[in-house]
Parts: sequence; structure tokens; C-alpha cells
Amino acid sequence: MIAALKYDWTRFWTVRSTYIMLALALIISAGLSYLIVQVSQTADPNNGGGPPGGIDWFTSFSAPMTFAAVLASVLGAQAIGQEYRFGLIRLTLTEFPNRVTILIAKILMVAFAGVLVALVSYLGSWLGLAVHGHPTPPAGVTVPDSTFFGRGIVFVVLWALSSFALAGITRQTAIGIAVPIVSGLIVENILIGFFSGKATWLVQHLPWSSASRWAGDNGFSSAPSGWSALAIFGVWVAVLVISEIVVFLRRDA
Amino acid sequence: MAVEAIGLGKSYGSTRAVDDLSFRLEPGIVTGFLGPNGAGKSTTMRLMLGLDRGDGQTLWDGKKLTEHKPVSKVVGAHLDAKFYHPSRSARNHLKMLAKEASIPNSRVDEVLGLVGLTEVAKKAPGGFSLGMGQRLGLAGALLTQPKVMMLDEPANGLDPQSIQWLRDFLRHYASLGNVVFVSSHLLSEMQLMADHLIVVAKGKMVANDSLAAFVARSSSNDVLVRCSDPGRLAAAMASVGVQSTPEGADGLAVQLSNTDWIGDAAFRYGITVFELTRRTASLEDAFLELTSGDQQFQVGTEGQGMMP
Repeated sequence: MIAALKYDWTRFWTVRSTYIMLALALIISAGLSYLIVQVSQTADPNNGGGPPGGIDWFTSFSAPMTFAAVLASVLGAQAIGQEYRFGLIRLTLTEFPNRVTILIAKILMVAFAGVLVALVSYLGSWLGLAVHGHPTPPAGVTVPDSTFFGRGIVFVVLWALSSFALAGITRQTAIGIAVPIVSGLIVENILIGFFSGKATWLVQHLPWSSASRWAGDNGFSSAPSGWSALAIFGVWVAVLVISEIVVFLRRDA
Repeated sequence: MAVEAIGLGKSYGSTRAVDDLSFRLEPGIVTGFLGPNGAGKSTTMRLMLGLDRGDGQTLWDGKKLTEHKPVSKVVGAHLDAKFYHPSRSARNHLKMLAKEASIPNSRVDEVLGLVGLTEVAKKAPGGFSLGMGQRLGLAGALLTQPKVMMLDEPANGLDPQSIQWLRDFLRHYASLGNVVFVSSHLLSEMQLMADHLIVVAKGKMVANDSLAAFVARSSSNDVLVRCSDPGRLAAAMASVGVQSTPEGADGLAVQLSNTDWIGDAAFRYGITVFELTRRTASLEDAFLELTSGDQQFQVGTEGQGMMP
């Protein structure tokens, strides 16, 4: 297992895309957090140019998480999709004929990539706030619960794992990246709009919406929140990962 | 270490790509793996390595590959010249492969030098030529100095000097007591390189013999006799059951390898011999004779499909 981890560690750190995704996580998060603070400090035109609202200090950390998740999903999908695309899977499985070992190593590396991207995103958000002149929470800001930062990290990790599994099942990096984005940001929103009030149970259990709800975005008000929402997304990701394990062990490289 | 493939088999739908192949690879020699396109050579190699799922098993020194640690010390495989990430440098590619057996970076540099890629070690192989890709694949296969070297068409795209280097290297590597198993379509190269041959056609074994014995079986081995009376010599040969066919105005191709016996027979019949030449079949002759009609993808005949 150690050798497999070293192998995948080297794979992860020796391609440009890893550094590009981390740089993007930093830049996008910094830019977004800066904009959020800027907007929240601007006089509200709907209020007759009245006094600005409070600074969304913590929102500056949670809002970029969806972008961080998308960037982590690229790394997750590449972890297996590029092995198939470039034929490297045959070199990998020649060195590690025990497929369980290398697959577990890859899952752990994808989880690590998710944690790393989330942490870099948090750093970027803080940099955006610091540049704006608010490196620490201003007085009066509502402090979220103690799991706030951890939820963001788990959200990114699970999203990356879902991309990893989808890319492995389909042997397509692009599908691993695109399906969660399209499902989470487009399809599920359409379904919520269409089925809300008609098939409540369905819209309450949509995976990526549940994940966003759990991570901090309030989203669909009548749906399960908190740990129930995490469980919904967690089950979806588990199903995808187990499916990937089954096909990975059974089919030709 | 010897490698034993037992009952290897693989089907794609209704097509039996590999059908009950069993053979043994011995150390100390180069074993060539021949067969027409679509004969199942690459599939067989993948089955041996456990990359494809199929029937049978391969034992490496009596054990399955999964029971060896580290595996890369047992077998080094080079299956395709393009198995690399286009933006990962050649050196990093090998460093990644080196992790399984904890091979130091100094060995990576040594191998890059051995295959002549030192100058491009830090370059992304996306722009590599086919020959450079082959060299990188070879470097990966020999990185750990494995007991078994398995190469699928390693000479494709290599220049003549590199092919000669590859041949000398593989023969030397085998002479150290290692197993070398190599497939190639370059039959002239295989004739110079291999000691033993395994020939497959349509997924089935058609020959498993030493190179010398394989070539000797060809009907193209004969003796050309140019003489004063080829008709009478042909009759003399036929009287003792030796086949011969006329060749040119005064020539006769005799299906026999013993030139002394033919010369003696001509002398006894009072026939003047102008030339007596033993002609040995090439590996290509023997291979084509054995596998004619077994090609999975037949080429058309000349003129077929052309405008009238």
C-alpha cells in the first residue's frame, strides 16, 4: 500500500494540471471573497442609498466552495480518467496487479486532493478578505457552528470522489468532470423548480443539492438539512465509488 | 526464473482471440513471439500480466504475479510506445514507475542515459517521435532490472542503429539468465535476435520450437543444381523418392539438404555439375509458409478496387 501511495503521489505532483487547479482555487476564492465583502459594504440602492449591510465574513469562505469542488473534481476525474486516456493504466496495473491496492491508493489521493483544494480555497478567501482590510471577523458578525470549515472540506472531498468514480466507470475524464457540474448546478435546479410541490420526496433527495445544503448554502428550505443532507450525498457518492470498484476489479485494463 | 503460461484464453463476443495457449519461457534465451495481425499476440501478453480478464493462468517462478513483491523486479513490460502522460516529463514518468520497487533516482538517470534520452529527460514526451516513445517505454521496462522482460513490438519506429542496439541489448540481457519475451513483425530482426519461437495464428499455437528447427521445417530449404542434364538428374532423384523441380534452363531445385549425396549421385549418372548450392529458408519464408491464410485482416490483391 505504501508503494502504491508513493506511486500515485508522484503521479499527482508531476503533472501541470495539479498546480493549475490549486492556483485557480487560490485566485478564484480570493477574488470571490473580495467581491462578496465589497458588495456587502456597498450602499444598498434598494434602500434609497441607505447604509451598507454587514460584512459577510464567513460567507466569503463558504461561497467559493462550489468552485473549489469543481476544481477538485477535475483532479479526481484525472486520477483515473487520464490513466485510461493515455494507456497508463496498463503500466500501473502491471506494477500493481493487485487492483484493490492501487484503487484504494487512488481513492486516498483523491481525498487528499479534495482536502488540499479546499484548504487552498480557504486561504484564497482569507487573502481576499485581508486585502480588503478584514483579516479577522468584524464585531457583530454571526459566528457559525464549529463544523463550518470542516463541512466545506468534506463537501469538496465527496464531490471529487464522485468525479473520480464517474470517470472510472465511464473511462472518460470529461464525463467525471461534467456530470457533477451539470447535475449539481443545472439539472437539479431545473428539477427542483419543476417537481417542487409535485414530487417533494424526489427534490428533497437530490444529491448535489443536498451536499450544497449541508455545506452551508440554505437552498431548498423544506428539504432535509444538516447530517441528513450529508447522508443523502454520501450515499450517492458511496454508490458511485462502489460501482467503480466493482467494474475496476472485473474488466480489462 | 521461468514463466509458464497455462491454458490462456480470451473471447471477444463470438470471436476466440486466444484459444488455450500454453507455453513456457526459459531463462537465458530470447523467445520471439510471432503471428499475423490479429493473431492474439498482444492479448496473450496482457493476459499473462493480468491486465485482461480471461481463462488460464501464468506462473512466474511457480507463483502468480500478485504473490511477488515487488512485482516490477519480476517483470518489466513495454506494451506500447505511447503509454505516457504527454505533459509529464520523461524523467518524472520513470520516477513514478520507480516507486513500486523504491528504485533511487540515480537509476532513473542511468536508464535514461542507456536509452539515449538524457538530453530530453526534462521534456514532456507529448512531442516525442515514435522512436523516442519506444525508448522511453524500454527505459520503463528495464528500470528495475527485472527477471523477465516482456516487449510488444519494441522495434517499431526505431532507426537501424537503435534496432541493432536493441537486439544486442536483449541478447545480452538474456545471457545474464533473464527471460526475454519479445513480439515483432520485423522477421529479419527476429531471425537475428531470437533463440526460440512461439508462433500463433487466429489465437492458436502453431509452432513452439527453436529458431533453427522452425526454419529447417520449411519446404524452401533445398539445393540448387545446375548441370548438363537436369532431366536425367530429376529422374535419378525421383527413383530414390527425392522431389525436385526444374529451375531455369539447366537448373534443378532438389528438396534435400545433403549436397555431397547429390553431387555423388550426379557423378554416378555421368552428369556434369556446374553449380551446387544449398539454399536455406529465411524465417520469413518459414513464417509465411506456416501462417498463409491465417491472417485476421487479409490484404486485397493487386488491382482490386481500382477503377477500370
